[in-house]
Amino acid sequence: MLAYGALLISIIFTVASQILQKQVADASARTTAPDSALALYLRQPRFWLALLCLGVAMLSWLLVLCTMEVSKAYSLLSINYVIMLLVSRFLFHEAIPRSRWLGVACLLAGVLLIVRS
Amino acid sequence: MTSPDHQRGMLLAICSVALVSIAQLLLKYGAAQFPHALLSHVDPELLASLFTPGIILPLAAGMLCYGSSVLCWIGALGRLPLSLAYPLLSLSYPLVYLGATWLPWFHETLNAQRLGGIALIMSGVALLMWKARRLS
Repeated sequence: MLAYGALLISIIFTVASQILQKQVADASARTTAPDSALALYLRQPRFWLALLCLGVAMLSWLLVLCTMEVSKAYSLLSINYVIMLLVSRFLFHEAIPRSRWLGVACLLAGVLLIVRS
Repeated sequence: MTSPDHQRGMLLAICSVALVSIAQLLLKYGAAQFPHALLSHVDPELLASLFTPGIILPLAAGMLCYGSSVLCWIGALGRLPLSLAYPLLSLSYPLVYLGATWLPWFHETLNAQRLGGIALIMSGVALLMWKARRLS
């Protein structure tokens, strides 16, 4: 049970980091400054916050890997796509086409198979 | 149609997939050697026992690969449609699985149900990203 709790914490912080990464990618693409992409990332506070979230996710991920097989645990990380879809729908109010809900159902069926394996 | 930008995006996405898969295997290799007493109680002596080369080196290498994979990924996202980038990234599920079952250090077992689960997850990711455009 501890492994599944740690997995959930890891997924939540990964999602937080991905939202920040998207904002970093957007801001870098908009800029006209003649710098390299890396220099653009490093200058944005959100890039460092994204790294911090990844750090928390990483520590908790190591606790998961301590006891769970990596072939099982890594596939379960795909739950973060489902959370991202819910975030887009309810936080960013994006319209979600029906094919995406079908994708979520398919993905969750796969997760269920793996949890029970 | 393949523009140089698209090709660069593909290359970055493939690097990201390879790096994240290697990272997971290295992290598992390090974490598997944690003393299991750490899960029930934390004391300074136990924490100090984590700082041995056998644990620290694979973890540090794993995190380095993971960080590089994130950088490649941010680069790929701006150049590829999401409907291509995410299904490409989901190739890391079977890659990690194959590594954990075939490489001699992990001893994880091949399991048809788990493979079926991975196939369903990959189909789910492809459906999720159906017709999705690039981020920028």
